[in-house]
Amino acid sequence: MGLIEVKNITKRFDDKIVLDNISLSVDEGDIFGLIGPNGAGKTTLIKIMTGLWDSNDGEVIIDGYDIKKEPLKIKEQIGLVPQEIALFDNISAYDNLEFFGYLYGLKGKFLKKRINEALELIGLEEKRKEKVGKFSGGMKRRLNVACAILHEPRILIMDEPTVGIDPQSRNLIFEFIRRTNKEKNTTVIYTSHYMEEVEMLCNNIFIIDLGQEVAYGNKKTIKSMISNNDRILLEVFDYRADMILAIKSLAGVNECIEEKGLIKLLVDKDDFRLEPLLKVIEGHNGKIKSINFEEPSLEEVFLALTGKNLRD
Amino acid sequence: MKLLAFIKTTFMATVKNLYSLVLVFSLFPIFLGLLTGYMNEDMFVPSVDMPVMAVKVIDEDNSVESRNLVNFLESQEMRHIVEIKEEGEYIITIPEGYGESFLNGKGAAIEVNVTEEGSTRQGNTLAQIVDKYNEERYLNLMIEKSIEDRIGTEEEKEELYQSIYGKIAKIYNDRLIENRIITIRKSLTSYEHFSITFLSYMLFLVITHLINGDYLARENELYSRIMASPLTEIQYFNYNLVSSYIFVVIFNLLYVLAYRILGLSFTGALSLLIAIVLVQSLLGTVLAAFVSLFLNKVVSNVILDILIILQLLAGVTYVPISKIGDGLLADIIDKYLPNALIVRTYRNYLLYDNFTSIYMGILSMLIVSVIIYMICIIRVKRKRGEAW
Repeated sequence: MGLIEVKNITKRFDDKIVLDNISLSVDEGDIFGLIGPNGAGKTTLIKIMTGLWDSNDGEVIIDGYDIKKEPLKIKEQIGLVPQEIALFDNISAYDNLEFFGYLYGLKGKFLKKRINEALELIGLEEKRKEKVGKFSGGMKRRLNVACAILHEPRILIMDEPTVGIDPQSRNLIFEFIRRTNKEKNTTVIYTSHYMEEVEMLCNNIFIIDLGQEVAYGNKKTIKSMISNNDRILLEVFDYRADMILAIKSLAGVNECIEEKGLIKLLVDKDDFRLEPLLKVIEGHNGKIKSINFEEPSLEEVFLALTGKNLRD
Repeated sequence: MKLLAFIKTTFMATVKNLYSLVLVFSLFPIFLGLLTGYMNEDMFVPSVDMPVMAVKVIDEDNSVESRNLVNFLESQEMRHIVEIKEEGEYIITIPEGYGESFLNGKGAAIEVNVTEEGSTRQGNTLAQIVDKYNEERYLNLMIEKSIEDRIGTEEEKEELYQSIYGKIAKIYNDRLIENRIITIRKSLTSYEHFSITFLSYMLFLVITHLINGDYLARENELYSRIMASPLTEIQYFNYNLVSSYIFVVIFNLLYVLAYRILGLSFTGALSLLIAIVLVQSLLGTVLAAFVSLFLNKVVSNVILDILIILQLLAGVTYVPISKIGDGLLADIIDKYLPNALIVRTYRNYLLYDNFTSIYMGILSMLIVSVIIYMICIIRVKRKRGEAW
């Protein structure tokens, strides 16, 4: 049983179903990606998981507690980074952190220590006394994250935390996620409609569209859902012209194209073996400069499964 | 600690934005109040600084009652308002039959004439004093008569009669009548009147500010973030209410104390003033909470804008309105404007400066606040787990 168990969650607004029988499980220490286009139901699911909204059907169990019955016990363990920048604009970064620290029961020297650590972590020590309203978008986003981690939550839920920020801030947030996950075994639920972010950070992924599950599992499983083919890119020089024909005749090779010194292969995952390919190249006096295996991107997976782009 | 978080944040936000907040919620309404007060000064009856009126009394009745009236006008407590002279700026004519009119229940038509040297405004005040005296006198005589009509022995009636008569004889030294005469004499100065008008305006501005803050917190997910912390909806509502209340009290106090320091209004007992400010701020705070819980942003802003305009119109045009339909329109506005309770309580404070006069206002505001609070709590409980 996972740390977070979402079972058959359905949410309706009037007659419109925004979440339809969603189930997922997140293990402790996992970085879990929740992806889908805008309006897919990601934020609704997060609001239900954090006890902000009630579902019409189904249940959310976190660390053995039911969110509807014992919300406070669950809330203590969660740090939420909302999609919007949810900060008090008219007070300083320090005051914002102090406010959220108090809400989670931190006080005195420990609170001060945690605030200083958080400010250092997000690179805002110098700006601690400045009004948040004067901050750039990236700085606000970083502070938005810091407010959620002050109490060292067991579960960190980040709802599109990198929307509209500069690369420097984005990298800082990624670095922080990896660090906190590695050092403190924090379970992270990361929602985004940027596939490359999720692909880079997450181990397990839930793809949602129009309130329904599109795909769920680890990255490999999900990618294998759309194709049994892998792509191999070869950089070879000094080879004889008939080498391409020889490669095409190998077992498991479905396609072989030569393009500006680059050989692109489409191979069957089950039938293809690398060793015969290397032998063929060697037999044709070819010298390998590089060899790359390519999987389909999550963007391609989403396109294949839903027929539309993620950012439509 | 959680409550402290809310209070501290509100306090810090107030301190960090003090200039703009003071400008909007204190300086601007005070400036408007002073400006309109100054421009309308002539339309209001001056009060304590009113010069002593030289009055000539022509007693055509020469009865016990007419002499009583003259004695009253000559009494100690009236000397700082009226001085009886052979030649006066004001002439009071007590017609023949004045004394009789008390007994037969018909109006005693005393004339108050203002000579060229006198002021119509002060003449009106003098007429009001005489009217009030007549009312008091008539009331006492009616009590006396009802005792006369009682079944009982002559001795008992005589005893009661003597008792009541003794009290009526003390009428000029009685603090009750003195207070009531001061009631008539005292009316709001233009600065006092407009200080109340713009206090209401300021309160509506503060309410609008609080409500929009609530909507913003929901829009930018600050509310969601706070509610994702270990906090119940009721706790959030109460903590928010307390911190908002402190905010409202601060700006209410700033406003009234500024007027008080200037010596133009709210100059009565400080304890009473603070009591009104505390209760009135509570009413304002729960009203703001009520509106943001029950109405959406657009509707609530439209309603608040209308209310601000209405109360401003009523306050600024109070003098002309009070002359329409024998004051009927002014009475209706007084009773039914949304800020009526607040205006009336402050007005009573300024006029009478005693707890008795503001007691009902304070109690009513408290009761209304508690009722609104209870409704809000029910609403918050019902909204638990809903999207809003």
